[in-house]
Amino acid sequence: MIHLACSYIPYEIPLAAGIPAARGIFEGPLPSMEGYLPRDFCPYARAFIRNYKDDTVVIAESCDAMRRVYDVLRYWNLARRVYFVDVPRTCNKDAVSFYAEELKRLAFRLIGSQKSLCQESKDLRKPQGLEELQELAELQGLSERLMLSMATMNEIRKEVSQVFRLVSKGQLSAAKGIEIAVGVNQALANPGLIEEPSAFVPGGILTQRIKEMTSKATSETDPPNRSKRRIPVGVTGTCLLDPSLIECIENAGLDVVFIDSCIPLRTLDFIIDIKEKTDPFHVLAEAYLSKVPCPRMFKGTARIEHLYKLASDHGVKGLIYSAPKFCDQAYYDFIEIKHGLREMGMGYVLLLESDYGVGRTGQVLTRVEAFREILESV
Amino acid sequence: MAKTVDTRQSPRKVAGETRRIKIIRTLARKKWVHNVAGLVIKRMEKRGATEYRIAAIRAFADDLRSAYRKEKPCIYTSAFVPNELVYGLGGVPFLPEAASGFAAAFGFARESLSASESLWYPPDLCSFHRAGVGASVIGLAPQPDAVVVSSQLCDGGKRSLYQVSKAFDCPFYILDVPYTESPESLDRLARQIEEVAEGLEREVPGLSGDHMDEAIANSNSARSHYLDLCDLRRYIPSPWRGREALNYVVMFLWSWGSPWLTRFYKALKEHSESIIQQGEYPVKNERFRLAWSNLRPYYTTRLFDYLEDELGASIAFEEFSYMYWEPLDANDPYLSLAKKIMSNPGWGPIERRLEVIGKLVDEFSIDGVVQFAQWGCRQYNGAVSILSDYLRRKGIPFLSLAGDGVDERNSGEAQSLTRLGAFLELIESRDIRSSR
Amino acid sequence: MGIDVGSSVTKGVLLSDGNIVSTFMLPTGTELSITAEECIEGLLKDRGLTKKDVLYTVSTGYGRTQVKEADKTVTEITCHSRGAKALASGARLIIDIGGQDSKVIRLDEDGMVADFVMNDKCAAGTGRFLEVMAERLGVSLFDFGRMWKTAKRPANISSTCTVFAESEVISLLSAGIALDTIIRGLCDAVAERLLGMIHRVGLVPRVVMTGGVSKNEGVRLSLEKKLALKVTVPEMSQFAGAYGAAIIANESAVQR
Repeated sequence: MIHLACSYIPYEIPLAAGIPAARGIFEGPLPSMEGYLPRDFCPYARAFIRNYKDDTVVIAESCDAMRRVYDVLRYWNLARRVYFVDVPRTCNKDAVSFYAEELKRLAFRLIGSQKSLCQESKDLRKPQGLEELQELAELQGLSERLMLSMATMNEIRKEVSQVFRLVSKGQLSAAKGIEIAVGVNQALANPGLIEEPSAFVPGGILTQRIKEMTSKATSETDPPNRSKRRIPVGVTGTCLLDPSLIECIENAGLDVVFIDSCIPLRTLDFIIDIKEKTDPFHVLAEAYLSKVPCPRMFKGTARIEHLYKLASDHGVKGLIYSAPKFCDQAYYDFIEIKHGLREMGMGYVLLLESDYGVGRTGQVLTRVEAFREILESV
Repeated sequence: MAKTVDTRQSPRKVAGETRRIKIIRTLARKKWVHNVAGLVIKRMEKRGATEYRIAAIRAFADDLRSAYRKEKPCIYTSAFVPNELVYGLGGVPFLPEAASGFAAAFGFARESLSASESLWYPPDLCSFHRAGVGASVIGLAPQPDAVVVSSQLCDGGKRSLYQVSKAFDCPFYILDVPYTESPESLDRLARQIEEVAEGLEREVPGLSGDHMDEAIANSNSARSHYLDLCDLRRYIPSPWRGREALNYVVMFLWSWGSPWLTRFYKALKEHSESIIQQGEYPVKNERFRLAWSNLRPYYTTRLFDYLEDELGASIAFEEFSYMYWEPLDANDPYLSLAKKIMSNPGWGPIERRLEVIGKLVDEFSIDGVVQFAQWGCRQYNGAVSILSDYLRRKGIPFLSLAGDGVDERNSGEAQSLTRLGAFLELIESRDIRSSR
Repeated sequence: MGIDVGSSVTKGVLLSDGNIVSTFMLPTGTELSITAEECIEGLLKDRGLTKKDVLYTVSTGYGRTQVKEADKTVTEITCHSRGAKALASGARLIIDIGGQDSKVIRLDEDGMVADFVMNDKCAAGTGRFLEVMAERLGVSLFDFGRMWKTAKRPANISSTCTVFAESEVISLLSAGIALDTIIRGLCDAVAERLLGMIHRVGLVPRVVMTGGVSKNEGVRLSLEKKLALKVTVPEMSQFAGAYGAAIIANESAVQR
């Protein structure tokens, strides 16, 4: 199994290779892993440190904390293989080409690791036999499989988008929406599905199962009982650690109508324009670099404009920024969002420093309720 | 949602603009103040002030005068942007991260930090970045004409300067440094450097690439003297005080490409030679030799008096001062600068840093390594468990010393002194002094 | 009626025709609902009233959900803002330093909450910090104001961490630093901690201090010096939250 650390590591690649893979989603750091990273460190990075035994982990250059996770996992032999994807911070032609090469290298290694051709080394920048792996990949028809995987992931992403359309209309709670998205992530890690021959094919077993799952989850859930008009808010941030914060916001009497976060949604919130007769890695690279901007990217005002549009389209009165404690990307992004949205005339952005289970604390409930009281008085 | 301006979010007054800040801000931009400063420096020289200190003061006085008086374009850079690029274009660099150290040393850190607090910067961010932003916004720093950052070594450096570029509405450039060195990644970086140079020439009046050869020649010349200096620092006892070396790290970050750097390192080298010849070592009874990682508290602190004078511990060398690049090639400046950037051992897998620290331990006869665990410094502090284990396997004690280099409200001096004392007792008791 | 169940002290305010007719306070202890009952009893007994005479009750504070009699719960942010505004007209910035938390609230020109920031995770900048230090030094909290005034300067004490600060105080004592200098340094440390929070919401006069620590004159003096602004401490500063809750209860009762 492959454990992915970032929304810029495409699901399409392990899917095309027929390897179960999922974004790491945790309940919190493991006490037994204390000491590998300092306590004043991103909770997600700390939770990511665990013993992966024979599994493969793929880390991206998403932030300082994850760079150190990459080092810790290798130095202390906490996984069989640890790969690194260097993700550009901009989206120009050069960046796309560079990223396409990175993704290609990742794909070849994953295929090679399946076939035990890839030498396991701690510093996996130039594994032996990369050309050999490339040949193998071509023999296996990797390019074609990748094109089909992109189409399959598009179908899956459409399903998730539909779920969140229900959330924005108040027909499904946001917490339930998150649960469904996490379920999709789990389906992508299910060997029983992914190793099936038709898994990566559009309309194949994977898509079918996910459609069944989302349909069942949305039909079984009663729409939230919203007898009184509730104030709509959006939630944004780097990564939403767990659903407790969303539940807390909803329990405090606010309607969460959109969530902009990398777990699990920024991976699942865009459609790839699949261009035939183009290098599929290039298509993948361009699509991922162009998707909804993550706080780590340097794409000018794109992120503020995106959030403002989301807020306007959903009629939100306020935005809640969920910043994992000690997440520098989140802190700086919050500053930019707060200033930027203020200039655009959007009033209220509440910063909530988060940790696992933070939504179950009285401190956060008080802040969210106070925020609701401010919005009620506007 | 309609665009309405909410009156509750009233225009923010930036904190920290105290009366003395306003006075300094005004004076810093006055011609007569810089003239007087020049005279004072000349007088110091005549009175026999130490040559290398004069060179350093002149380097900064020159650059700051050009920046404050707008005699040359002022380009803000993050700490690891090679400033040969800026000098080569005829501009002067200004490093807000380094300016934070100055702010702490000269007592302006509180105002700078207050300014950042009023702009919603959380206190868990590194104070070097917060104070840098704050000092820029309250006008203690000269106004930038453009901002250039590199993606290394940390998120705070590039993100804080991005905010500054927005505050001043000036062009912003990022060198997106690949994480691994390869011919392709070097080419990619070289192309980016060239694009940045072209962009700066286009957007900032007064910049042109005519000075690149000179900047590279200055850099290579300074480098040569610097390597000689590093050789001298291997002497036992150490010919230069570590506390001073940690102060002058600012030259190492700031001044490559400047005409003053050669003079500075040459003078410092000669000074060190003289110390060795005369046997007048700054830490007279040197009992311990330490390697120091990361920066230091730049406000007044007893730490170094305690280490050097009371306990006889020299900081023989510091990780930040490690010379990690080859001489630059004026025939291919952009590729050269790309190689310089990518050679930084702090970027890439941790093994690169471990290799350097291992070298320092061996070459400088190190008894113990201290890492100053700057609050908010994720990329350094995140490696503590690895560094500690690596050094333990080499038989070298390691101390992670929690503190804050700029915000003295965030440091417990008493705890730090206790930890250092205990660390040296540990070294002494293990009797692992390297053979002298 | 307004009941403020704080982490250290529970306060109650009873209004009649919008005027304060009774106040009561007691330590919160561990049984919050029982404490709230005792507070209500204390308020009503004073006036010879019973629960049936109360038209509407709002509860606030850390233990607000434990007040069985409450018709509505409102956060302490809103309640403190309403209470402080009523106690000091023109209040725009409220600094509330309680036993175990502190908060800064900025009001707009209409007296509505515009922004707020809370510290309820760390003892630095709270009453607890001062209690610990006072005990360590063998000084009464009531003497802090007097000693602040006699000190020639404040000792430099770290403001961010209570543990750091305590060991610094020990070092200062060993170095023979005068007690009043240390006391003034402690007040400055609390004020410094609040300063960061104040900057985040934006400083705007009129500045009003509420909560238990508002009665500590030394802290008020330190704040005034750092802000270069007068800091108003209303007579009933400790009851600001409960008073604000009572005001909201009064409005709700009228609406009913």
